[in-house]
Amino acid sequence: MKRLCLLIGLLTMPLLVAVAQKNLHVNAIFEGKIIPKNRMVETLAKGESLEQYRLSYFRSVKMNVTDMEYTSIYELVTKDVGMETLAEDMEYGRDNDKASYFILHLPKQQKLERYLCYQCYEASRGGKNITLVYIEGKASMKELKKMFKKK
Amino acid sequence: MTYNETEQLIERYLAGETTPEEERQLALEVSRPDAPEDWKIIAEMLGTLTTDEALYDQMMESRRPVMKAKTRRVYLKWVWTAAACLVAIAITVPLVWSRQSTPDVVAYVYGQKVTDEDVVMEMMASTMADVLGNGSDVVAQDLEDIFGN
Repeated sequence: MKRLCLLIGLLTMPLLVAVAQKNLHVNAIFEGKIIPKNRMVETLAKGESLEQYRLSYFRSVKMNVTDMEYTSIYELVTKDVGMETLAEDMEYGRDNDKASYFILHLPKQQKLERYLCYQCYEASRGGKNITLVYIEGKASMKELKKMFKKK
Repeated sequence: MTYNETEQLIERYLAGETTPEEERQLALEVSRPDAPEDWKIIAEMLGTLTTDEALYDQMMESRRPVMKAKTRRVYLKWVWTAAACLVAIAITVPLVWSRQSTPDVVAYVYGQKVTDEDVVMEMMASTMADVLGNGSDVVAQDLEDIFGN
């Protein structure tokens, strides 16, 4: 029985990695189910290209949304933020009701750090500009902030 | 079957309520060497054909190899193991494949695919700087948005 459980565990381990992001509610946003992909700027990177940053996976989407679309996105985001009690850490901020952000340090999976970053601010041309980023890797948030310091 | 069960079955047979299977079972019981005399009458009523059929079925049943309980447990364990492995593979492979089939570095700008690694990595670095340098930077971004264009 022990061997059976071990075998099943070994076989489903890649599954855990594959669904690490899929378990998040915001995955629907990344998949273009809330805002279509032709209205987003999506960036995806994995593998060797990220080794210099001690990351293994990066995915981001940027979009301009209406107030109604923002409500849908906000609902999904707050569901994942609700995982705060399980998260390792969270940083968030708000600026004069025009902008808000959070950096959620999600529970580790297979010794990999996972972060969900969100930024929203009022667009000058109307609507809201939203950026959503999902990262996996070995780098700590302190290291990432140092590496990606704004010039 | 117990004596009482056989008696009950005889009553049902005499009332015409038995199924062919039950009649074969009854035939076996009443044709036993130690069966009471009054059961032999029932055997005659059932007839030679039913009795012979029942005896034949019993003989064939005893010849069929019976899987030992322990062997059966081992067999089932491996069947379940194989089934679990197949399910795990069926779920894992498509998910891992879909992740691996996309290029390592790619961007989609309003639906247009960009595969230049330098460009995509620059976009990535810019996005990271934006989201990680928040606080006052968020306001700065807004001001840039207003006055930048």
